[in-house]
Amino acid sequence: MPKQSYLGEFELVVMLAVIRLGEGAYGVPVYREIEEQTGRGAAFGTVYATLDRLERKGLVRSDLGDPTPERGGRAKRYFRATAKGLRAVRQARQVLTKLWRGLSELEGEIA
Amino acid sequence: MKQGHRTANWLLERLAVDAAVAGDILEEYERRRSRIWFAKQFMVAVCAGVWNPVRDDKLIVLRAMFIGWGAVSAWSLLIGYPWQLLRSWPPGPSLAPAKVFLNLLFLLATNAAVAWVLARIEHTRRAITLLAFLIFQSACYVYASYEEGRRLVMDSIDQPRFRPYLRFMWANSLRWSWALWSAAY
Repeated sequence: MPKQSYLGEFELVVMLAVIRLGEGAYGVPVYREIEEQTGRGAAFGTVYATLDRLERKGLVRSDLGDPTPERGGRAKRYFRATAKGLRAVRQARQVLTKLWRGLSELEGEIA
Repeated sequence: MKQGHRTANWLLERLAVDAAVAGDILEEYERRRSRIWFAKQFMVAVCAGVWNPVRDDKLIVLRAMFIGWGAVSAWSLLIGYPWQLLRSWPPGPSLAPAKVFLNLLFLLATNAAVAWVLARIEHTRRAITLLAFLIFQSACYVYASYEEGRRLVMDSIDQPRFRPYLRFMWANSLRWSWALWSAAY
């Protein structure tokens, strides 16, 4: 049986942000997406540490874009979810849904 | 780019911050973010920039210590004899201003030479290498001058005349760090 990549809570949040953004997923939009959707601001250092970890697991891949003046001439690093990453997110959803099902204490809590 | 943002850019360039992270912080900072926001992002990015290379390659710290120590030894061998001649001149007490100045110059030149070597050997990870060496050097310095420092601190509490020496020691450690970083960048 192949080794599965389990996602932590923040890893899942970052993966979903990257998937939602599609082609334009570099640091700033990912950061804003997390801030808007979760209502809490993360640090870029934390977001990148998570993205690096996801890349090492083969769940995302990154490419360098063009440098721009407002970034002090630094290039953007674009991220994209891999097929393995998409599988890991689907699997995380299935696991959470299974765990959620039948919990009478949480009935009606999901929007 | 505004003046404050230029300073931020300068800081991010010289510390262990990944170029893409630094660029993202600057881009978001330009978008009306506060200085407190920047300080938080900066601190986390620097900590991550220092920690991540150490996590990926645990030998980096040991390598920095050995290369740095080797460079210090080579430098001391290279200019040891001329330096001995300089130290005996001009004749006078060891705390004479000229001798103190020469001593300081030697220490700064040593650190600059070591930093130059370290930065070229570990070009892609120079900030963490320099930081590791700086911590190692500071630990050696504290160990070697612990008694003297402790005495100075204790004496300075009730005798203000010792405080300038304490300030001098503190300023020296800042000068070392400055020489190390300036030579590497």
